[in-house]
Amino acid sequence: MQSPDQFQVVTANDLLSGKVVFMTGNRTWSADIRHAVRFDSQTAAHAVLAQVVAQDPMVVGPYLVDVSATGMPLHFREVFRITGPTNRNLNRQNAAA
Amino acid sequence: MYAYSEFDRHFVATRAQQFRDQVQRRIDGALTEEEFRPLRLMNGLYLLLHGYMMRIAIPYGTLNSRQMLALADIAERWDRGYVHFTTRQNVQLHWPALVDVPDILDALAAMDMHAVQTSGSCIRAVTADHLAGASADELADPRPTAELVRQWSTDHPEFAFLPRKFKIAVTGSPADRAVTRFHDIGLTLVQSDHGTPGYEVSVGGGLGRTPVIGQVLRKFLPQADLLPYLEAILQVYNEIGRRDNKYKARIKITLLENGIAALRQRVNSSFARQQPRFDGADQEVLARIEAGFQPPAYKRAPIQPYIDQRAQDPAFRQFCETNLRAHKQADYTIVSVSLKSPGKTPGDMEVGQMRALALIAKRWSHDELRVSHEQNIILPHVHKGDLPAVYQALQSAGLATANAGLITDLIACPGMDYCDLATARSTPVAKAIAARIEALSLTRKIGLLSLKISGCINACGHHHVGHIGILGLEKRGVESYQITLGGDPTRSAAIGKIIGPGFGADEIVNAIERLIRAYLTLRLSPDEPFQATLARLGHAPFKAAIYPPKEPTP
Ligand code: SF4
Repeated sequence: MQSPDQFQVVTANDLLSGKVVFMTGNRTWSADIRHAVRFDSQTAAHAVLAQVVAQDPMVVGPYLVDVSATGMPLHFREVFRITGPTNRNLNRQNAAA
Repeated sequence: MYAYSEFDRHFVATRAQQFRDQVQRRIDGALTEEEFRPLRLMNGLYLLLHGYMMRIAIPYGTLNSRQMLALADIAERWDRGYVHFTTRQNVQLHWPALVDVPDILDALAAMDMHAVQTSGSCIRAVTADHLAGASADELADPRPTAELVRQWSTDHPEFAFLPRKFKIAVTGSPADRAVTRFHDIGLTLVQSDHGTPGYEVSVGGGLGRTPVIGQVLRKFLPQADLLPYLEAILQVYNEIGRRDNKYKARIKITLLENGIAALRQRVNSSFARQQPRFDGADQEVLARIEAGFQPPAYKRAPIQPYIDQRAQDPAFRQFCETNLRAHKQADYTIVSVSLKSPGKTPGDMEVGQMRALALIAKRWSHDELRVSHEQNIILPHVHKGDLPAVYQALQSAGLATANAGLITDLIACPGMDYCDLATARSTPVAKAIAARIEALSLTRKIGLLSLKISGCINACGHHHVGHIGILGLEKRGVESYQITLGGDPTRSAAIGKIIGPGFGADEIVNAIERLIRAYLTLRLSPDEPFQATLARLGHAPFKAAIYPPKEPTP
């Protein structure tokens, strides 16, 4: 069992653009982690991940990210993955458009 | 420079075409990601933290102005307006889209460039001394050898699936600026007692999780025996290199487990079988390659403008003091263009700068540029009389930072800002240290000192061989930085020793400042380099400075 305030979201990279994406509630992909569907059980999260690996050819390298109750990643690596490089003012969201 | 033959052109164009087809099949669903992944990696296309990264080969770091301009065009059209030069003398695009990669490969092929063997368990792009063909201290130009090795190793069917990646570096200078002692194979051009050209061959060097100094496998190998001897080494490695554990798969572990004598014996018997298969055709190829590396048509002109400017302009004088290296021709010089201006990410270059530098090289450096493993660009052949003009043009492009070889010319891998393997960031630490040293006006006072930072134990930032090394790790959920002292990438090779517990991201800059201040106090004179002070006094006084006694709690 994971702690009650810990959730998981499914992330991957978009096959064509390479952009970081998160799985939404209706099984589409969004660049915005706030739209990600959160799983409160490891089993459910792993089951969905297995489905993505097997059935979604349009994303690459899917994996699970631990997030807090507010939906923000717990590990700094995953925070940087959302915010973009911290060493350069890339204005990632705009540049990614 | 080496000029592509029809064969080379056809090869890279065909590779680009094949990859276009493979990408299309991946998009159509005919290839799964599992099937596609090795194909994209064979063309230098990785998936990193934020997306795809494309690593483009710059064989032995040599390129011309047309190629630099093409890279700038690619970065502008298909990426985000900048590139990153690496410690492997390669260049990386950090934001390409998969759908654009076939076009990028076509654009590269049109300029005699490619991304072949910049990834995978094969013989990787060969590196060489970045001052090759220009440096005053050189015995011979290592690039013809590097090019021969490139041709031999490209798509070599027997060595396409080695236990792990395999890196070869070549130097023609006793100063060894190519870090040969830390490569799987290091080749140093030497002469026998009778003046015959050949190589000293070292094997089993490497950084990463288990840093190992390469050992001399053969003190003198006649030039003509190079390829059969390399084949022999690779065959032995292919046969006895470990495939059961990727951390033990590099040839350095083969060396450690078997010992140099046993390895030599195996290589020699393999060599005895290989040698008769080589009938001299490779030496004819080498002769043709050498013809392409003739020195440029040096000009004769007065150097007075340089002397005058140096006398009048202190900033120019400072630049000349740090960023010039001695050229074979007395009235020529080698210019280091630092990609470490304060506030910038080490190794990054904007397209505007790339274009400006391409024009500078075309006009004033016989159309040649080099990428150094120190993440700088070299203008190898500049007439001293042209230096004032070159300096001015570099200044206009924001490329005249006078710090080559100084502490702020630090090396940093991309770290967790880009790399999916990273355990911590490296470039923000690099920038913060440079900013601190600059703010304290200590850069020039410190003198020659190398500081190298890696964002994980893979050591792409060469931290093991920095005079000061910093390794970024994760400790209890936060970034932590471990300091090593005393590394040396040259022939007197040494691996830096860990000084003590790591520092958090907010403390590492202070710790480095304490270390630097201790060095300035401890050195006998401004002429005593950091390495010498460290050798004289050992780690203890530096350790005491880095970890000052804590204030007693009341
Ligand atoms: S050292 Fe580690 S973090 Fe840095 S580029 Fe290499 S693999 Fe990535």
